[in-house]
Amino acid sequence: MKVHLKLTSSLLREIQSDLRRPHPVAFERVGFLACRGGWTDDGGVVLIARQFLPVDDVEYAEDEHVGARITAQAVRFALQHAYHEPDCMLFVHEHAHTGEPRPSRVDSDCWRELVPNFWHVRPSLPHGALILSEDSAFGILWVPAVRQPALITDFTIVSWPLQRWTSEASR
Amino acid sequence: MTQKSDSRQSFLGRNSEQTLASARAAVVGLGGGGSHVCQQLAHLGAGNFLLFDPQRIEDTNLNRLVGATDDDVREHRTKTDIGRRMIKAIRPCANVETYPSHWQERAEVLRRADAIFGCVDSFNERSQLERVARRYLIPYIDIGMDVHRHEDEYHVSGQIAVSMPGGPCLWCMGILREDLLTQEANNYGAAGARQQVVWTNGVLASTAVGAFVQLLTPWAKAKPPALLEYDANRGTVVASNKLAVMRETCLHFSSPVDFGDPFWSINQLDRIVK
Amino acid sequence: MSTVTVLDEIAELALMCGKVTEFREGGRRYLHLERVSLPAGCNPAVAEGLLCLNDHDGYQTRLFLSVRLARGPNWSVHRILDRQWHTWSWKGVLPNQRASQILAEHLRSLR
Repeated sequence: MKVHLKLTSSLLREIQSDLRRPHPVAFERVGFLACRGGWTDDGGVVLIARQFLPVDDVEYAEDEHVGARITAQAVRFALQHAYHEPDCMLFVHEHAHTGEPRPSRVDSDCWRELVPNFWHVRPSLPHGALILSEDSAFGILWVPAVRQPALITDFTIVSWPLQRWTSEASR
Repeated sequence: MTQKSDSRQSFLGRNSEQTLASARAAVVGLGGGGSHVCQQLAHLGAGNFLLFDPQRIEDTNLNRLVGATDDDVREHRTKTDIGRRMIKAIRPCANVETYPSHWQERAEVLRRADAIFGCVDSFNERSQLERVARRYLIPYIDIGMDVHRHEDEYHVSGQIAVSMPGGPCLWCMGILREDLLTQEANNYGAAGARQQVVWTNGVLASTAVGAFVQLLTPWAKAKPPALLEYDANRGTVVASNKLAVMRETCLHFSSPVDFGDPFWSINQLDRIVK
Repeated sequence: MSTVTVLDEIAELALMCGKVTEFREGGRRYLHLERVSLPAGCNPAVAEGLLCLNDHDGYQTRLFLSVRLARGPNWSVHRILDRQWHTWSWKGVLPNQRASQILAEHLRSLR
């Protein structure tokens, strides 16, 4: 299944500027990207990122073993959003390097624990995760009733000029 | 995928050939404007085409439908077939998908487009196309032409508008207005037999294709103006003076929820997955 | 002329049409009707409906259906809320009525 994520350059800047802010206790910041979308006629998904939900400073817990640990309240906030809005939710954070990022074991464990919660409030949509780097991205989407998760294969930053790339991981 | 060529267009950038080859251009309306657009995109090396037009060619189209022949008229061929044949003759490796129907009936296909060229006659069609484009963050490039008589002279004019997500839309630009839509609706949606000629269509189509290339392979530092106006009597294509008073951000498509398919659900998956 | 659709009107429509969902697009308000029972003799007998209670291209209110019927003049196809909808030319159904009355008047034109 091909998955194409599109976002405007202004939204990307908003996300990056939040994720790159230093935090007193966390090594990195995280957030949630609310997306609308649709099926393509060839059986794929197009995701349109429309709103970034940052995690408040106070909702990070101190933990030396991971880049960021967020509180249950932060998760609840994101779940409330998904309950009220028909959005596909992507858990997002950034790796500070160029080139296509890859998830670590910690990332995968986190997603396994976090993402299924969204199907309690918004079971009719896929949900997933996104890692940004300075110039690339990696994303993964879980579609209910489809056993294997789908990698986000294509990314488009809508601006002048259009920036499009295909994920190496998906090839 | 790409054909070897002398690359006289290398000024477009090192990766321009690959960029254009991987681009997906939707062309809605394959009449005088759309057929020109297709021809130029094919020559440029665009690799993927999504063509929409419900009509078959008639003899009155021959004065402007690029790629069409007298034989096509005799055979009453579809405009999509003519477009496909022309593109494939120029670029055999191009992927050309044809939809000989009203685009509204196959609009899900547009979700795969990198840009949509609107080469339609009707204001209502433009309005609908732009809405779909905005839902899926797809740049929409619209061309339109008008011939009208004033006193004892004909005036031929047109415009090329680039409606970028977040930027001014056709409503911001004054191309779409409620009174125009109402007037059109009072004529039961018929745009009327608008007069068109090949050379003016060519100017509009070329400028539109230039905007598309600039979008993908920015060979010039300045981005093209969102609205260009063509005066065939004077032989000019200039940035519209409306741009000076237009807001940079659009107020008409400012809702944060008008994205994607409002009915999107995994319940549709069985119907979609082949 | 009232442009407010109160909750009881939506509930009233829901009794007739199943699930009713309100949407907005392009400054217009639409009510999506899950099941509209069409006048006798129409084929199909039931279709999804989209009721626009605002001015729509010169029509004071307008009803769109998920299918095109053999009855009714000048059918056209539209893309609204990113779905295909069909409608016919029928003017003069005023917006200053209950939504269910507006729906009924549009359907009456198909008899």
